Amino acid sequence: MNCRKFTEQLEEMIEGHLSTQERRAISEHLRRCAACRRLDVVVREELAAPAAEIPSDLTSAILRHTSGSPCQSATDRICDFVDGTLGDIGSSLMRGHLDGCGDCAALSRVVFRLDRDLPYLSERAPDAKFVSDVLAGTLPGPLVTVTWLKRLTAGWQQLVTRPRFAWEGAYVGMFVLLLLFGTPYSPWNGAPEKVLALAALNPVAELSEPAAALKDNVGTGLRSAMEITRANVIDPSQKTANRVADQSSSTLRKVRNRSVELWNTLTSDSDEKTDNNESPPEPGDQTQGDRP
Amino acid sequence: MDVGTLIESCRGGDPLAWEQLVRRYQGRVFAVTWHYMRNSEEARDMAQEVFIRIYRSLESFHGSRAFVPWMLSLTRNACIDRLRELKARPPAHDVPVEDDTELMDRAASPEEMSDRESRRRLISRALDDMNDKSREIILLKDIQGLELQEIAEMLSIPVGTAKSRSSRARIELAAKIRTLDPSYGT
Repeated sequence: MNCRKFTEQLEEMIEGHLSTQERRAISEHLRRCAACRRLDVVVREELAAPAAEIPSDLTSAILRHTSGSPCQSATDRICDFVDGTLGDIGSSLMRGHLDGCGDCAALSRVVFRLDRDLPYLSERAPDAKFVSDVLAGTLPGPLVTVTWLKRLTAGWQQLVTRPRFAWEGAYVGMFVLLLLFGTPYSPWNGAPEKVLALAALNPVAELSEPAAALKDNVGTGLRSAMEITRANVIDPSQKTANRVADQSSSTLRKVRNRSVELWNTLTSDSDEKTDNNESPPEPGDQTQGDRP
Repeated sequence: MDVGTLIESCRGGDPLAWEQLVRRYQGRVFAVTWHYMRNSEEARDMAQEVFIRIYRSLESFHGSRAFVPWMLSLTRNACIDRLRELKARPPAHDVPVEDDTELMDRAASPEEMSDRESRRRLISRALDDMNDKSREIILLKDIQGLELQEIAEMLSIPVGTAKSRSSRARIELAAKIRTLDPSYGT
């Protein structure tokens, strides 16, 4: 036994947890060591003194200056504590915290209460007609058709009132056309080529002779019509036109000659008044007093 | 009659079995559609649509799976599809978000119902204030009672994510309720 060992075993000795041999060894050491005797006296006096009143905020003050508030950690464990899944040690620690923390204790009480109250919200009563409406919409029968028609009508009305319905309809239409004509697996893929092939399969050779005959007939007919037209219309018309042109020219020459004569007559009558540089007027250009 | 036998009878074409199935689960389906759509009329239409889908899919429903998670998954998907549709093409008029109305409670005295009703309204108000993901996980796990594994499959997320999301949502809901009514839970 030495002083260090005595210090380690002192509290156990006071509490009576040492064996007889150990107590004898300590007693022997105390007879020889004054320092340990003094320590023994001090410790026994301390233990015998009444406990001082602990300030209520002491624990929280200590925690604030050491590990920080444990409330967040407790809050994180409240649900497991309520559900009983925290284990013995965890539950004991939680109870210890809740005994000293009013806020966490209140929160845990609310969570406990919610655990009982929330399941009561699991059912709500629809109206009395609900079941009959569901049965009408599911079980086969004449009502099913009416229901389906109503739903179809309502669905269609909802669809056409959409602002982008025209665009969506065009998009769907193009997609349908693509499916019908545009892919290798479309039922009408290559329809134009197929139509041409069908046309090519027709007996064109059989039509060629009557077509040629028709062509000759049409040509002959056209030529005949042209000749008739030329003989009866174009040629006489040409002749008439030539005649009219000749007559017109003749008449115009006569009018011109007469006009020149008149001008010469007028200018010869008034030599004093007229200027020799004036050119004779054009035929048909009449001034007042010159009317025939 | 257990649900497995009921479904077999429905598959056999028994209309009475189908009626019983509808009556048994109409409340749950309607509750879920109401939570998503927040409007009675839309929720009713969606619930009806869900049952029609269930009716058509009964042949392909495998008996090894639990019926309720399958039904709720189908309900959720239908509601999400409809909400996407409404978002893409908003209705011509505003659809009012309704307050909590009638909830089914068959085995309670009038006093208990009144007290329970007030707590339900409080919870509904708090739920309204939460974001969609948190509200959804509360709906599926804490209200409808699905397991985390089932929820994870439905939402296509890991089980750990579902668990942490659920815990956060519960704490958030509890905090909101405390703010609305500090006496709740005492």
